[in-house]
Amino acid sequence: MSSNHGNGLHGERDYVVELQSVSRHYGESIAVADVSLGMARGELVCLLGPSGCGKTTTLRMVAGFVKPTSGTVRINNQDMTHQPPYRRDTGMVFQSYALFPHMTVAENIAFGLENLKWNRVDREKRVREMLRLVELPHLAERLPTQLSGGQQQRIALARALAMRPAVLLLDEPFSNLDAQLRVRMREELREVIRGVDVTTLFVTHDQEEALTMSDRIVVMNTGRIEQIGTPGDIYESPESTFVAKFIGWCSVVEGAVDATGTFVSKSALKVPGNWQPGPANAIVRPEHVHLAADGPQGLVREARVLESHYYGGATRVVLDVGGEQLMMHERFPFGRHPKPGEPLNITLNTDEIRVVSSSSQTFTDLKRVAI
Amino acid sequence: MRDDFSDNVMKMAGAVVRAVVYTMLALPAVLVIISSFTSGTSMNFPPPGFSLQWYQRAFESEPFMKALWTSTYVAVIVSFLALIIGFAAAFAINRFSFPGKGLLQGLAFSPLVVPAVVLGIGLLYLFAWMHLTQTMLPLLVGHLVLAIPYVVRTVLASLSLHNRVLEEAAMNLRATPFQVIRRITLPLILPGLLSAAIFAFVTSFGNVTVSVFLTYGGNVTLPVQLFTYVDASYDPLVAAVSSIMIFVTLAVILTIEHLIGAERLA
Repeated sequence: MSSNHGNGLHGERDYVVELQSVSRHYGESIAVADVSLGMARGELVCLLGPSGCGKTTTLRMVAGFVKPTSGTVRINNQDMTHQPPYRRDTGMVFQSYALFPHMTVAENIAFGLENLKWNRVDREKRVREMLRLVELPHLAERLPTQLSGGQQQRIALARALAMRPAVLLLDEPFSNLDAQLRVRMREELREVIRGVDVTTLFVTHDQEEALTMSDRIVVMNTGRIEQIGTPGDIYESPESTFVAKFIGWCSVVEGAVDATGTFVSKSALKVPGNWQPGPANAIVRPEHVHLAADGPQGLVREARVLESHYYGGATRVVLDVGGEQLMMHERFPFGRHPKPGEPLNITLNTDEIRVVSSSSQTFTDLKRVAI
Repeated sequence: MRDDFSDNVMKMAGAVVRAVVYTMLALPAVLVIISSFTSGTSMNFPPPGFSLQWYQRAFESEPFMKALWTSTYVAVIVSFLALIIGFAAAFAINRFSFPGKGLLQGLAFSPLVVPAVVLGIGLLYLFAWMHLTQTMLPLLVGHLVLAIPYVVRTVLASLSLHNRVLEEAAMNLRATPFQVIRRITLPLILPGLLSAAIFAFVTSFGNVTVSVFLTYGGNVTLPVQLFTYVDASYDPLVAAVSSIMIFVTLAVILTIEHLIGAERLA
């Protein structure tokens, strides 16, 4: 495994996959706008965003199924922008797996190797190797229709990896599996990918998938990149309100940063710091809000419970703190769950709260998030 | 209770309608086949006794056997050509958008709306003008024109049901467009192709209206030969030859069904 995936790769020129100002327009509508991204060898990068954000189009431009309107796609330092899919060194796992129904599992896996003109002996050896890798050697002679969803996915992965592609592409690989299987397959897939050390680009709308699997996450919105960073960067230091609200739970507090760099909300909630002056939002995550009794030391504030939702292990409480709505995630003793209207004393961990510029955000957008 | 009653009445009525329709469809063929085994010398029903004499006469009749050979020969060639041309047209219509696509689609189906007699006369004039009436070409072209719409329609239906993602997967696995068609598209739409072939064969094999204008050098197709024969006489030889036609058609359909499994036939 490459020792330095994650940050610190910008400036290096040895990318396995590189997108340079790639855009894709469909008539008037813009699917992908000016996306630039470099992937280092062995890196696992995730394209994350809501449906219609351009993540799948971006992946399909790497595979060659969609031609960019402008920009360059490079794979292994070669310009592939105008090359058809079958000349690109990629292996793709499709959302529907796309196993060939008229071929056995072994024939499916061998298909790419035949096209690459491998001889029979090497092909058969590689097929056995791949089946062992995904732990399904007993299914070689089955037809895809005789497999479960999870098995189909593993065969699709084996088929893509058999060719030893420069980059593995995964399009929403878990969306066709049920919730429990999804978590198990996620762990298995990550293990296999780490094991063969293949550079991987995958698309998902599921933030949990992105956070647990990726070295780096590319958050996309309306065709543009909102932020690129490690899962930690993205969660702890969101650069926009969109990123903050898309990853994890948060309350968005409207306000402005004054000349001293301190954020002040409309209801006078303060987040000291050295923020960029101008209209801004404070991103308050549930874990920044604590009960006064057991939280870190700080200013004790009086709050009133607006909503209370019991989730078993914890209760999600929406609080009115001096006119601002904040969310808290706390474990209450049995029978002592707060009810709407009750007062509560809380502390705010203002050191951890991020403030982002809000100049591009609309008021209704924020209102929806705050609830 | 009332619902049960009306349900039962509807079920009964449905069964009766089906029985009548199927009987009407099958009865003429069944009557012809039964009369073909008659021991008498005229087409009477019921036949006075069983014999194979009319089959013997049919197989000994040179004009009929020659016509049967011509018909089969033409129908097989027409099926192959119609399949190739029809697949190419259906593929283009399904996959690409190009100027004149609507026109091509309309053209591919136009033989269905032009009366066959008009088509026959038109082709006769055309080939007479080209001095090609003494070849098999007019007959082939005439039947091709009739068969292609069925092939295009059937293949188009298969192609639009076909999962395109599989082709993308194949391309991702380094298959060139030609390899994709050969190894993924064609095998997966095979049932559609074979039903198209049946349509083409049956259309050609049973056609009279166009064939009657386009005979060449004394070569006539079996249906045309039958028509000519019925004009002059009305003995059970006609029934025997007709039965042979039915058996050949059935044999073709059953063979193809056996190849792909009847349940997959579109």
